[in-house]
Amino acid sequence: MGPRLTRTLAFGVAVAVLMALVAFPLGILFYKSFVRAGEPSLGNYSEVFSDGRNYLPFWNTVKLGFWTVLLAAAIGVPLAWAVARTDLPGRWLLENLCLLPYMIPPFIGAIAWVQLLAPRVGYANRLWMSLVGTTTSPFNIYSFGGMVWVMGLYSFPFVFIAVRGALERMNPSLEEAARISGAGRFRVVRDITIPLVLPSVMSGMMLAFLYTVANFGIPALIGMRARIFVLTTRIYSYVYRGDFAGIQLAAALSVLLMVLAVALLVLNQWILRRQHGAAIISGKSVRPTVVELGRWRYPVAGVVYLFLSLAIIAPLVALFLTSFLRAWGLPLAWSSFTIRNYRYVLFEYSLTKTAIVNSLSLALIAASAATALGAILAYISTKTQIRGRRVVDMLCTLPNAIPGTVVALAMILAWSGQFKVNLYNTFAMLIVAYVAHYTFYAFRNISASLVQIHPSLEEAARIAGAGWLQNFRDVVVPLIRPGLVAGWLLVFMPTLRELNMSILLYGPRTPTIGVAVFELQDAGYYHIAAALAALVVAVIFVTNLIVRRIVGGRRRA
Amino acid sequence: MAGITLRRVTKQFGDVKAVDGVSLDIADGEIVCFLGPSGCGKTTTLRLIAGFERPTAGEVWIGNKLVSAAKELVPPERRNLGMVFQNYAVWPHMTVFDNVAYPLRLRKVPGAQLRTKVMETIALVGLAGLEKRYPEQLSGGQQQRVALARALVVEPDALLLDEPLSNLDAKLREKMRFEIMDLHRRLRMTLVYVTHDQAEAMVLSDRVVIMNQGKVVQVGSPWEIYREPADPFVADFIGLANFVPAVLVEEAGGEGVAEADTPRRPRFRCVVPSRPGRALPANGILFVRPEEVELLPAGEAEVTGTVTRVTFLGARLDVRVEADGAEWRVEAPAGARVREGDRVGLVTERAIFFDAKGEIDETEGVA
Repeated sequence: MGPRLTRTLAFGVAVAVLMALVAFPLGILFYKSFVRAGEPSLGNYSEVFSDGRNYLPFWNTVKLGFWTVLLAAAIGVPLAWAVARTDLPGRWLLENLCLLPYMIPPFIGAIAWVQLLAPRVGYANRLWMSLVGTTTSPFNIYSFGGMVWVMGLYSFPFVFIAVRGALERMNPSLEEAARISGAGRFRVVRDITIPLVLPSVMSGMMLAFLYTVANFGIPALIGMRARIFVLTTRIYSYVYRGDFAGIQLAAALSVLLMVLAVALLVLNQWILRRQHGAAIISGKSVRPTVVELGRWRYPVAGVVYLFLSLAIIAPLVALFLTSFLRAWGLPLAWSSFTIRNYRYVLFEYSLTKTAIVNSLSLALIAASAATALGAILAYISTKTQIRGRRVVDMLCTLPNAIPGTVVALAMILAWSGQFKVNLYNTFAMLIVAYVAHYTFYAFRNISASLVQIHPSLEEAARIAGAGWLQNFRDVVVPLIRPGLVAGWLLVFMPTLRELNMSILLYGPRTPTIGVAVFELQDAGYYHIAAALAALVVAVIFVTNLIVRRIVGGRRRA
Repeated sequence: MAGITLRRVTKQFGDVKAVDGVSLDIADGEIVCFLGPSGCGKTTTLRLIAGFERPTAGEVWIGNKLVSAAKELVPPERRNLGMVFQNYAVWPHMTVFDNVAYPLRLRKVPGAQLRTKVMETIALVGLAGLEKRYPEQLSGGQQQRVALARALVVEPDALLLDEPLSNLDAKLREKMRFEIMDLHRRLRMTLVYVTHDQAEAMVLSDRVVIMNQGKVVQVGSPWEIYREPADPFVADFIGLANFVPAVLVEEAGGEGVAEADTPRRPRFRCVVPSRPGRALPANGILFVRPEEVELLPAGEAEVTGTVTRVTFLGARLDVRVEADGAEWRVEAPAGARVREGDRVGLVTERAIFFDAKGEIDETEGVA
């Protein structure tokens, strides 16, 4: 009686929270997009498709995704091959350089690239102008091309990770069998290697597309300057305007964005299912055939490292440089440098001080809540036969796949007082959104740990006399502790510098770090924004090192 | 078809000599098995023949063509070999037909001829009717047959097999062994087979090559390997063995008498032939196969011991006897009346006397 009750209670609360956080808001969002003046109507959609201010962003989103993904594949596939299959010197360094953009939030990437490629004042432009001796600058970041370039550089790791994994897991005998059958090196690549990694390339591209479509920071900081709107920035501008009609159009645009994202996800699942995956992964001796580059080894290494230095290291260096400048645009001389920006950001300026405290507390609370929720839901999903646990799976996964902008709008519609609960402009609103969006990471990690616990371990505890709660506390939790810690950190890190949702949900007293960096950059205080962004990057590096220690050799895509 | 010759082939990975000065002549049409514990260099040797590895020193010849040397390497695709891999390596994105047809397509065989040859080969390995299937729709055994067909379809100069049966279950493995033998009888091609399964090597080979720590330890027919192992390693690796430290007490005309080196007397003793090219050592190890030991009633032999365990194996009994502090393994007929605790006498007709010191020095030299 007792144990059954605690178990039912725990499950019931978790599922209720999931419903309130995910199913209800998304349902409301969907519903609102079909309502006008209290009446069911397709008016929002017809306005979306008749007004250029609305359908052009949709078209731009698809276009941005398309070109970004092509760029991401052009960068990610050769690099994955170089890391997985060649004897290029320093492959460890190479691999970590390729994963670096994965850790850095795109809006910080955008800020970093602005330092380099802003018209006239960007470092790269200044260098070019002084070298060539002209006054016209060659690069303009504030353009569609600029958006594609930066977005491509921050999404190629999706392609890189997927393709490198496939190339490393592929059974080398498959290629050797083709050699011995009479195929030369290039013929093997054409007939065996490419067909077998193609699904992984496609899958990586799908994920990069999804990431691009969901992104707000890059189109906001780069695109809006050039009056180029995509769905996320158009929704932002409607919500920012704050009127009722705007919210309704934003709802319709959000539903479109959600449909686009889910369609990409379904397509990705379909591609992965079609992959002859099981056959590729071999049982034994996975030592991939390494191509010896011979006399090409150092020339190729030179090109690869030069590219990565320019594409990945240079913008970060630029960001740090600017963060030490007295003012943006000053010549790079000793007299221009100062640490004043950091002092200002950390101790003097109330916006950034509040933002830092806010983000830290939000991340702590959201990570703990998401881990607790994720643990129970993961238990339901992997260790019980309860009907409807597939729905739990879906409700955990879906909000992570849906762009943060959409989740944030759904929260506004559901929890701004229309249903007796008003969280608008509060701390709680941000927590609710973070938990909804990020519980997936905890859920996935803890599920993976739970699956490895053999049922007999729990059965032994029960036979020994432990109730459900005692069993959960004494047996299950200690066994999945690494999964819990990893899950917690994987929620903590992105929430600490979240922007996509925060920008729509923050109130006068609840700015976050992401919001502060964004607003400072948007207002033109580049050197202050750079200092705060540089701090974020430093914190990301340190936490990543800690996570690697904890998670050990486990790799995640 | 062609024979294969290895001349002092060495392959070094970093500081490790995976293959160390291996020389061997494989005759045209012969089945040779490389047998040894994991890491002994047998697979590397096969990959050197295939051309996937470049020798650090030495030469590989196929027929009368030099294919591998430190400075000269004919790539695998130009060696006209067939190879079957341990994990099948059947291409998952091609049907059975396309898998088998691939080597012919590379050789630009025209359509009608290609089709006939592919269907013929698929039938040869017993997969007729499955040519439109994808590998994921086949069992492990069927996938291995596809791999075999793909290797055979071009009528290669030699067929290389790298532990081809180790992923199959015991029953199927035995069946496939005989099928490979039948195929060899029909096609008569040179066959080089790598395995760690001694039964497989015994059944299949004309000659067995035993490798250990990168070196060839012994080459011989299965009979020779079993009956006349070159050293304690081979004796121990193939079949079961009793080893007893012993000293030579008599020697005359190519024969001697060795006596177990135990404190109690009378000691276990037996006649040992000297081995070709080697003098009988003064100190050594006496090696006796369990089936060469005979159990007698206590008192009828010089040495008696106590039966500690009797295991019923169907056709035979595995009997453990403790005598003078040593444990003996004896194979007795199933009908023998021995029980645990019985006192029994031990005699043997046949033993080999190894020079313990010399053999140990040799193995240490390798490591």
